[in-house]
Amino acid sequence: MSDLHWMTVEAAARAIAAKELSPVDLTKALLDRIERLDPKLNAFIRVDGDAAMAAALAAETEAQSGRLRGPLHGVPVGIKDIINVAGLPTTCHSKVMADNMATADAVCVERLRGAGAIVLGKLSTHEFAIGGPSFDLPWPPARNPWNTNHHPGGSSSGSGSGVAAGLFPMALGTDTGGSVRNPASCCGIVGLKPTYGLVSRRGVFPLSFTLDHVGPMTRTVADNALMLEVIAGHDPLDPGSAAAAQGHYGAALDRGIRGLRVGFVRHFHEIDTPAHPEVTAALEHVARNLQIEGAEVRNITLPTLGEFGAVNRVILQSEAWSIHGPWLSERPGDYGKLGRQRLMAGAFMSAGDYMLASRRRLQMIAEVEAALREVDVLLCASSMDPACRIDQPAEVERTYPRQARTPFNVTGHPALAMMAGLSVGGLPVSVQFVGRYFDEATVFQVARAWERVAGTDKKHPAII
Amino acid sequence: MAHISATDGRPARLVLTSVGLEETYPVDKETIEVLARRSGLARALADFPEDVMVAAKQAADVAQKIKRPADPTAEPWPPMKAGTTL
Repeated sequence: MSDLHWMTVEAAARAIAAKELSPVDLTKALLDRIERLDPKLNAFIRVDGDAAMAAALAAETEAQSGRLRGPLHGVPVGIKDIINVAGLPTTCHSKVMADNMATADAVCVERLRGAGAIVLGKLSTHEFAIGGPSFDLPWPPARNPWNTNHHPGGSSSGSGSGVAAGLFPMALGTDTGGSVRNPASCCGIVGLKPTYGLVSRRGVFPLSFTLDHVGPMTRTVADNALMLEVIAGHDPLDPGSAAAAQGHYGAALDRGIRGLRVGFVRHFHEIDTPAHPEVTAALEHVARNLQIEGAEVRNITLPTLGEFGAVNRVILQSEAWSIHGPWLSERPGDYGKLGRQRLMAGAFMSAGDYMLASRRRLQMIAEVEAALREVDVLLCASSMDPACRIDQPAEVERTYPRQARTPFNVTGHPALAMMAGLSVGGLPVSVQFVGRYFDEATVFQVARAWERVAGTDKKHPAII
Repeated sequence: MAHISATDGRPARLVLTSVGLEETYPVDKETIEVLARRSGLARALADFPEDVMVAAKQAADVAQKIKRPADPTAEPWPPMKAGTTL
């Protein structure tokens, strides 16, 4: 079997279940690829090769005897390094946590392993999942496989880079202000921020309690739905966990979208934060194609990106300060410059600021809910630009906030980012689909329709 | 944001507003230092003074961009919930 590294999760799991593919061969092929490519990509903070091979051998033995743990049996996965994996340090890509050994798996990792997935190792992030690509941390920043001179987005940067480069077919990321969807956008893969509370955060180092989400990152929409089915579900020990029933998220994938109502939030990228012309053109192309596929596309107006961003920032930095304040007091030098600057900002937010943002948040939720009573799904920009060069901090600083992801951390609605096309420079540009609470299935349905039309699942970077 | 009296006899003024930080830097710098020390950032202030200023600047005007609810009784999110499950 050739090109094992581009196999989808679905295809690999199916082949393993049919005894046509050995989990050992698959894991070995990916570890070889990691050894060859990761020095250019820095997707990993730590590769756990021996443990992965041992798990692959066990999975092979089980598969041969017809015992499958679940729908991901024998399929490798990468884990963002703010998520606990038992026996490995959770460093949060920071000197502050360099020796922080995890004694138990996070719930999302436990569920992946329970479904048969094989953990390959821990992946790069922005320090504590905030800031941007930094060169003053204990590990280098991940790079974009479409062009390694460019950043891969973040903060789940290793997850995005590694999935896109074929180092693993799926990864876990986290998303507080867009950190699953930014790397998905920059690297041309599929990244979902599920409904708030759908996936347990227990065992994940927090950035902002009321904005944090754990989400799946894959190369195809179907794989994303499959991964979500495994990691979603109520956790009574996570105070933010929702009691909603677990859904069959891939149920509507190939139903098409005839008759679905799509609300195009044009003002995000046309007025609030004018997008790069190639992004604007790509979004119009997506909308036109959804219409051709039978959807009704109409314009929708929401609060401005500027106000959504302000609400997100006040809440995020205030809550993050409550976590990091003691360390920033005692050992500010152990943080990188970007993380230190971002995390100290919460010291200067007032209780009044936080309450103002929290009260406005409830109104914003009502406004997005009202929009989603008129339409089934929202279509809008994710990143307003293709990824810029990683070695130009001023350009990173300018372009990182040019995005439309934070609104849905504020409101908690499910939001998926994926490739909308490629720029003239050969870098991915992106689109975002947003759904009603716990209606990830419809988000996947629309995303799959676009994927089928555009063939985005077949587009891979030329990195070999 | 906080009101504070300047120490040189000038009247009290509102600090950390959307007015450019650079314009009011001398007084604001003092205020930032007071707030930083109150928040336990004395060491950061000594070792990374520029980072403290950048952090304060990030926080300075962000709340001004948020519409104040017209209804004074508007509730925040998340709402208070009793018990151990949602």
